Amino acid sequence: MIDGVLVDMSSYSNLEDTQLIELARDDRAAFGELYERYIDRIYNYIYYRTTDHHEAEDLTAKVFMRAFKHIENYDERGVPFSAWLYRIAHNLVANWHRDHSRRKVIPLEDFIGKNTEFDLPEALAEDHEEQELLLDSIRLLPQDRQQLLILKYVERMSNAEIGEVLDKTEGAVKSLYYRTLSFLRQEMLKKQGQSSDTSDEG
Amino acid sequence: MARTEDILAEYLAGSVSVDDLMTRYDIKTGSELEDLLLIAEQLEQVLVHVSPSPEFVATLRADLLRGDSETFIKRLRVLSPSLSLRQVGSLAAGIGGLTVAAGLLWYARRTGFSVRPRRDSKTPAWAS
Repeated sequence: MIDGVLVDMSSYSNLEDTQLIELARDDRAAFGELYERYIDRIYNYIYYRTTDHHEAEDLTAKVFMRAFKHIENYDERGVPFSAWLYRIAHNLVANWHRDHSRRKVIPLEDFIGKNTEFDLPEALAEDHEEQELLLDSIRLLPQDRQQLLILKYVERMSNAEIGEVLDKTEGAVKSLYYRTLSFLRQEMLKKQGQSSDTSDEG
Repeated sequence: MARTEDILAEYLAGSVSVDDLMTRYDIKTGSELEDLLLIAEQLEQVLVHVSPSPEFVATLRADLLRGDSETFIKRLRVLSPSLSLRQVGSLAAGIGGLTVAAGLLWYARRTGFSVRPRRDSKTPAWAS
């Protein structure tokens, strides 16, 4: 019921997030609609932060369990529901990394292998070595910059939306993005230099 | 600096290609900005969208909506290999410790070692 008006369950898909949140406090089916809207995005976000499908499923489940449990306390206050979910996900991933204490290194073959299931362009296979360098460099980025790349590339968020999740201004996001790419460039140049040194020696 | 940030943002915001931007802004080949745009382009190929398994999505949805926390927690345990591994690790450490203790006890009994001094000999059997 929204503002005293009964809502037909089949029309949930036409409702805004804020309306669904209001309903979800008493109506599980409304939460189900929110779940459908965000499960994919949250899973992707966590998958790229953990690079493990099992861990991603585990943490995704925890995110929605926590959201379901606390939906009554959710107060928009300028933070959209999606940003709220991402923050829950971010905290759980941060705890997960802390529990695992060391940075998890995933063999590149695993990473690329999983992605090729999704019909990647042929260029990816051809450019394997450079992508290997790029992925290695991404793993060296601080958590917030990895998060930025995932939100930008995988989630296709605008700078304004990313700003809401990261609690930064649009300008700060733009600047962070520039610094992130500059870091990747430096790292790749360094690695390319090292690999050419090695091949020269050989 | 601001221009570089703006051009990168423009690349990501729209469907404009790196080549178009190179021409429009007269970006020099081999420049830092070209490198950054090429990295931005490569990231699009590396960071692709992945999908959770439909089975996982459906099961989790059903558990959440049923509000069956018991099933939910059990499922999380099944879903979380790291949790299981931690538990297995603790169990293995416990069993290992008990085995070592039992082994030492057995060895001590077999060799007649005792913490109490023997009345008939000053030298313990294991030392002779």
